[in-house]
Amino acid sequence: MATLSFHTDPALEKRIRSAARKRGVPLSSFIKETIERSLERPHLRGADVRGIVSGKSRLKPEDLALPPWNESDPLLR
Amino acid sequence: MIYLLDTHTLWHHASDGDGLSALAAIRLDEAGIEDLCILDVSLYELARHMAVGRIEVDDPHHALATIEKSYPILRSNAAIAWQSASLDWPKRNGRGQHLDPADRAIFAAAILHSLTVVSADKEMHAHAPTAGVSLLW
Repeated sequence: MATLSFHTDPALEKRIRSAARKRGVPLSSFIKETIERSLERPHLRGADVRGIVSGKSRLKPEDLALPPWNESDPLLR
Repeated sequence: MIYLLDTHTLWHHASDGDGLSALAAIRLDEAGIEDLCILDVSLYELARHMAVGRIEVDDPHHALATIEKSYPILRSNAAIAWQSASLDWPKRNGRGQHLDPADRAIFAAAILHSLTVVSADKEMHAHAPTAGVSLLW
């Protein structure tokens, strides 16, 4: 995946490679999996998890509310 | 902007209780899930509240696991620990330091990661301008 640098800035490239390493999968698999999941899942908002422990949420407790890769995760900065 | 939910905020949001301010409820509901986070110590705080009966749920472990699965969690680390221990945080009444470990850890995380804390805590509101922490309620 040497072409990754053509599509991203250096900081984002570093974060993507770091996240793939953390997951322990090849970079290409990580990118494919991440994109596939993000396309499958509608964008979640706070309102979607509000009441998640009271049964009032739109999501069921069994549903995974987190996206596969959190772009805003401070740990990835 | 990424919101860091104080423990009581987390519980009011996760349980859909009426304890959120109108502004906090709107902002948290409108935010993308990736723009919300909680500090891991909040799980300890909630567990403690459940264990002593301040928060009543049928299955505390399941409730905690559901929250863990549903909200992005910021993990404590050495930087947060040291920042927390190093904070000069005088109490509002001027009698010593505000020593609540969870409050200090949340503020430390907010400082280090430039997060906006969502809380009604009066000690936090009093100290936020000095600490340079953005606070919402």
